[in-house]
Amino acid sequence: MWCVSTEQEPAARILVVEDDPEARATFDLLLGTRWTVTLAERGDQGRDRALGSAFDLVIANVQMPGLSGIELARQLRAERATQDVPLILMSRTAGQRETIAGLEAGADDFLVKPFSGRELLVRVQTRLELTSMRRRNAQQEEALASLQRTLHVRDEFLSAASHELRTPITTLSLQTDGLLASAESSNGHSSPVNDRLRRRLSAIRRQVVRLNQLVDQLLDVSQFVEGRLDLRPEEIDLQSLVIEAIDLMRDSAVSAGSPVLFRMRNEVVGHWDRLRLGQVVTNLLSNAIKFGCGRPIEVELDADSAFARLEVKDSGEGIPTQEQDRIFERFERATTVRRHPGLGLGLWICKQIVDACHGTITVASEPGQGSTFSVELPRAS
Amino acid sequence: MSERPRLLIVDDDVELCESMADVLTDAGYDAVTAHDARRALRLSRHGPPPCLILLDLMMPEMTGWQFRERQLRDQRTRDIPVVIMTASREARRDPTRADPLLLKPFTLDELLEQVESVVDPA
Repeated sequence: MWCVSTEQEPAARILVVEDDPEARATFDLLLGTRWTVTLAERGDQGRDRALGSAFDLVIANVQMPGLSGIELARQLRAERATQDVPLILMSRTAGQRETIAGLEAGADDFLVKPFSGRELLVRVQTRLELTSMRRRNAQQEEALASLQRTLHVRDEFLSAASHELRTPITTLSLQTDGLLASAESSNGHSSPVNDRLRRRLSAIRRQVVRLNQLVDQLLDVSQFVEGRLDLRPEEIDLQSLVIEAIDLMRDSAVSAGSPVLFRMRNEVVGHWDRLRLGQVVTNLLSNAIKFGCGRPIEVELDADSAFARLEVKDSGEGIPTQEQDRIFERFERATTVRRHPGLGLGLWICKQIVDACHGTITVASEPGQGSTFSVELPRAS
Repeated sequence: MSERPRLLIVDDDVELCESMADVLTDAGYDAVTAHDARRALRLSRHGPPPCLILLDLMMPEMTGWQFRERQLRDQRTRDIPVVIMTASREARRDPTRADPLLLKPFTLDELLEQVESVVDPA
């Protein structure tokens, strides 16, 4: 059974403008059982009621003394409050001229008298459903636009915040480096005070690097989400890139007690974005150090004529099977923030970069045994 | 003792300017700072000309690019080499700009490498 009004939605409100009292009573009888009907006996009265209150549908007779149905249609369309209200005109004559005049004046449908009660109900029902559908679509479009505006504002903010944070990080970085250089050159000898100073400055240095990585990740989110990942491929030797990444992570690996073993089977030269690929290797290494439980980490590089393959393997805590699918999602992690802090973006960023290079990234892991992350990249992406 | 080469640091962030001046002074340079582009133009036109200008891009009133245009139009300053300092990753995508780039945040090593590629310390 067709029914526009549901328990959640109030009954649709219909305004009937009809000068014939008998016809008005019939409309009231036919439509009033399903919808809320308001009656008007003249065109001007109908216009005032339509302007005074919101209706879901207006049905008006064309031939009325005073303001005709066609003129009423024109006036309703000219007013902001009623310009979109669905309007059905009805007429005793089936002339094409009148129908066209009615449609031109803004009517949505035209009923020729006499019509059956069934036809009236079907037309009204259809028109109300269309209106309801349009309204829902408009609401969804508005909600979508609002969501997009919110996301845009968020990404603008992330971008501006990351940008703003880089200047103070530079200041911190330079001052720390400067102090470290002074501590190393002063007297040129080791003393307990100097050693302590150096150790503490090195700790600040590591945190500055970490702070900058977090800022980079925030900026990456907005860029990747907006599809602005702009790769700059150049010929690079993957071996030197991996060695640079291992060097960069050496201090963290040493602190975690995880030696990093690098093995290369073939020379691997290809066309990739150096910075982005470096980021993939660094992120994978960082995870291996974080979750590696202080055991050795193995990095292996291999290639054939078409593909390069990188494996980063740890023997740490591993990832439960049910978690393995979602670890490449944004803000996801196979652990709690309390145990392993971070933004939960590292693997998501890796996947975005590898996808953009037309490669694949996968994980094989067993809880308690460790995880192996494998990246396969076409050599000419 | 040879005279220290003069460097002009232009950035509206006072702390960054002073920090750069600290480490560059330690490294054997005479580091002068300007916290806006107009003062930087005055300093580079009058007085001993710097061997190198380290220039921030995003500054209020006059941007780094506007400074660069004026500097290049002026006979007195146009030959002074410039290193651009920026936090924007978009800057490295602009092929029309040939000046060397220092992406913020940069380390002391990266800063010294850029400066030493133009002028050795005293």
